[in-house]
Amino acid sequence: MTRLPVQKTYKLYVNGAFPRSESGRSYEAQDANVAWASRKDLRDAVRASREAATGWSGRTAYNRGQILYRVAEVMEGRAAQFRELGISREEVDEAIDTWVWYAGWADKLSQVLGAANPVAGPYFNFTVPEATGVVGVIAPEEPPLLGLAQRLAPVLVGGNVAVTIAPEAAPLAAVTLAEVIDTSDVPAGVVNVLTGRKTELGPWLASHMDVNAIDLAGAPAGARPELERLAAENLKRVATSGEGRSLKHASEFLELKTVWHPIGV
Amino acid sequence: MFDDAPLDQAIEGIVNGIYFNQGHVCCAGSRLLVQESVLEPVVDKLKRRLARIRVGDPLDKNTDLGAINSREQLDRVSELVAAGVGEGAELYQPPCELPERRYWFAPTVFTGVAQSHRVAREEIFGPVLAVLSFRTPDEAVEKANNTPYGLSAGIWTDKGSRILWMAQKMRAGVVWANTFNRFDPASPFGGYKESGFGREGGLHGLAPYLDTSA
Repeated sequence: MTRLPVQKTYKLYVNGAFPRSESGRSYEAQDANVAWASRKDLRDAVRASREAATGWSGRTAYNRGQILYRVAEVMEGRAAQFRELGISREEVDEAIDTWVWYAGWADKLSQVLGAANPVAGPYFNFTVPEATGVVGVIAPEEPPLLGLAQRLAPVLVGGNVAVTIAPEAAPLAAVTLAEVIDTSDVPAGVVNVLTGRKTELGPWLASHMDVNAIDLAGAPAGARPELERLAAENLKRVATSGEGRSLKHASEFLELKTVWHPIGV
Repeated sequence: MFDDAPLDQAIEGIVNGIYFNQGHVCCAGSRLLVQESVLEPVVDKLKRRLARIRVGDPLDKNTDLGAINSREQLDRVSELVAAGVGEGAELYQPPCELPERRYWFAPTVFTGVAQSHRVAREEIFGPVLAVLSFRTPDEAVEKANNTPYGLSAGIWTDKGSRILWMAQKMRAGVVWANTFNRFDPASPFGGYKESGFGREGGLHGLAPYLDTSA
């Protein structure tokens, strides 16, 4: 008996679930049908991420590190699945190592980026980095898996939550990464992945008043100035770091809080 | 301001927080959240203290509260205070003589302020304090953070663990605990949310001028 193939429709990842677009739209990419997210899908994703923000930033840094490492573990087990999507072994390895690298930083960020400040008076004064909140990520088109890992892990490590627009031409690895994240103890809503048209979704993401920061690394050519202008409306932090992994990139999504208290008897 | 705070000391901090420089301060403590159990004594003390504020010539070293910086700003303060009255908050201004020439505004306290009132939502940049109340620490946090701004916050309580808990929850770049309006070149200053980008002061103020390789 021949078995019918199980066709897969690649869906969105919003609030820990894999819905189709509420618009019913889909588009073809990499010989598959992929959900084509609408403005409403994006707003649902922002709302889900906002609700997840307090819980994620409130976890201990150590626990966030454990969970990011868990993403690497599960990716390692699914390496073949990424290979089937045409991702090279080198890229899969590098993406996994990126999660491990940032996982290690989780409980070291505040020591390296924080400070005890020697003020000229009887006060104890210290500065700690904290998550800025909801971060919009427009993932680079290339490389489709590694690019996303390199833009997503530094957002999450400091306690931020993410609304991500996947690479438009090759979105399948991003959806598969969402499936990995979903099974890696990352709480629902902390990562949301939308597939669709960047020129359509980008401006809604950049102008959303409940998004605190945005990474335009994968913004379409020429769209960046307009997206930055929209982001300025509510003073979104706009990430400027280049490729690769860096502590500086993670720190672009961190706010610095300085606390004063008098010293006395 | 919690019910275990040293009230007199806190009143001094609150008065300094909002009336310093006529409230023309970006980090002015313009909303005061008081725990309900001490609301009455705090408001009473505040009103008594307000009556002792000396309004007058800014060049006189005995003056506490000088002139508003322009006709435009005086109009803005007056307009917002009128809106506060119109929206149902209770206005208090101590009896005080204001100079006849130029731009003056008496120290002002609003009580019975709701979060929806304009005096609690907009930046007044004047000598106007809006007093709200809360019952639980969670409620204090929620009300304090219910703003698109996030430059500074203050906490008045004698309980150490509560200071640290509150300081962690405040979405503000500078948190003063049992003090207010302290500044130092070695201490980073700057806001969360719509209160600006980056920090000035301290190591974190210098960082953007550097290109570090790590």
